[in-house]
Amino acid sequence: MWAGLAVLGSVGFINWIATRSEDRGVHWPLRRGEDATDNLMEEFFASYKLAPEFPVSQIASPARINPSPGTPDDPVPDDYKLTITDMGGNSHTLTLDQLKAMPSKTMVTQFCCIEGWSQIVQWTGVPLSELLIALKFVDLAKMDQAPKYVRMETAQGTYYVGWDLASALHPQTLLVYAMNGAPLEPEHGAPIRLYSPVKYGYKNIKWLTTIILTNDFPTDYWGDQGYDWYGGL
Amino acid sequence: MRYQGPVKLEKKHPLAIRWFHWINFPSISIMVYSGLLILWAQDPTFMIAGRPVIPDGTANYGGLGMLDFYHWLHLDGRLAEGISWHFFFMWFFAINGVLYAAYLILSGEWKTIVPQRGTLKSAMITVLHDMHLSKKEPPRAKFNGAQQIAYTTIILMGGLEVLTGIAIFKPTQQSWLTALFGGYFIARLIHFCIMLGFVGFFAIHVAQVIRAGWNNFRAMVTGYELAPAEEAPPENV
Repeated sequence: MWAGLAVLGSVGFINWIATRSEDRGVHWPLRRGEDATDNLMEEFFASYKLAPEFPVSQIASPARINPSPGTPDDPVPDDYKLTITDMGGNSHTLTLDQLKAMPSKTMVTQFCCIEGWSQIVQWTGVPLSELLIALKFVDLAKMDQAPKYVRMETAQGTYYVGWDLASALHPQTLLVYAMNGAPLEPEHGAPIRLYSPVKYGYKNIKWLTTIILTNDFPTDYWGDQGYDWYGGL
Repeated sequence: MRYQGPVKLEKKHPLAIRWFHWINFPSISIMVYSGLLILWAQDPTFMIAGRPVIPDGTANYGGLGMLDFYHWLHLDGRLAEGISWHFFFMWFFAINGVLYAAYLILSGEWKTIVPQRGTLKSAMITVLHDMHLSKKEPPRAKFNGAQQIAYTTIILMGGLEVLTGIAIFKPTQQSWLTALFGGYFIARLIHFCIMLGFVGFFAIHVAQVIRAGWNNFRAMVTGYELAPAEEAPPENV
């Protein structure tokens, strides 16, 4: 009897979900569910656990390009500059040479696309955490005053992503300028793209020009079209 | 030959088992359906007829409209939707499964399911009988050998499905698990093949339940089954 009601209840429950209004592209109960799962994962897993590295022999060649509509083109100006701003009105602009002069990191890790494919890639770049700390946008001694989110955009804002601060400060979150031992190709996001093994590919913005530290929840391009916001691996 | 003698009501399935069973069914249905919505974006299998797969596991969908079952079933272009359902009902499937396994262990019900000595022989007799290759009746017990093997396997497959799911869901945070399954791609492949196993189990399970009849089905809903009042109970499914 009760078990029979369980079946009817389940069907009713599924139907109820499927008829709810959408929040950023998915039925709101499912969006709440994903957000709750993300919060749980954030609590449960240490943010600073390092992703495994792979032998150079496993690097996939050629590195797969996910063109538009995966990542809509946003041409980078010839006089490329990276701009970082925060809520306190601080702003800093770097040229590509200034960025490349900073201590870099090279690692061979797995890139996972939300579509399901994955590739082993060698990445070279500046850890975002070291840049933000060096430029005093983040003070590790005063993390209670730190901004909650990092919003990153392309030159025209065509593509944009929102990250939680912990993932942005992960030691393997890099501002990448070289891939598989060669300068970054335009299709892969030259001159600077973001890459981290803690997030799916759609969070790893190409043609990055603008970094904004903020407490306002930053949505992102695919997150606004039904995809999970956290996108954590 | 239908039994015509006196009958009595006999307790068969405990309430907990019936709840687990009927929560599992819609959960797993949603997981299979939403899983196909996800699979469409990057089908890692070699099993779908006519789909060329290049060595890194990526499939080429171009020009294969005739063979595109995703398109027929309107499963195409719904990746985000699939993920949102999958990541919601995974909790129901996994938690229900863990509680079910814990219940089996704590209640001692596992003894009726886990294969033991003589199970294989009983299973052979059952399979031959059900395929009409032999007239010998399966032994009369709550579950025969074929059922014990099938039910134990399906529980292990459920556990493996959850573990490969975690390996795909958190390949960085739980990288040891992903590595244990042979990497991200292989973990996806195992995850998919187990799903095919679930669907196969479902087909046989439903066919057997229909064969066994209403009395048997009703037992999984009400918990009780009509049994001969004097003789040993008939075969159950």
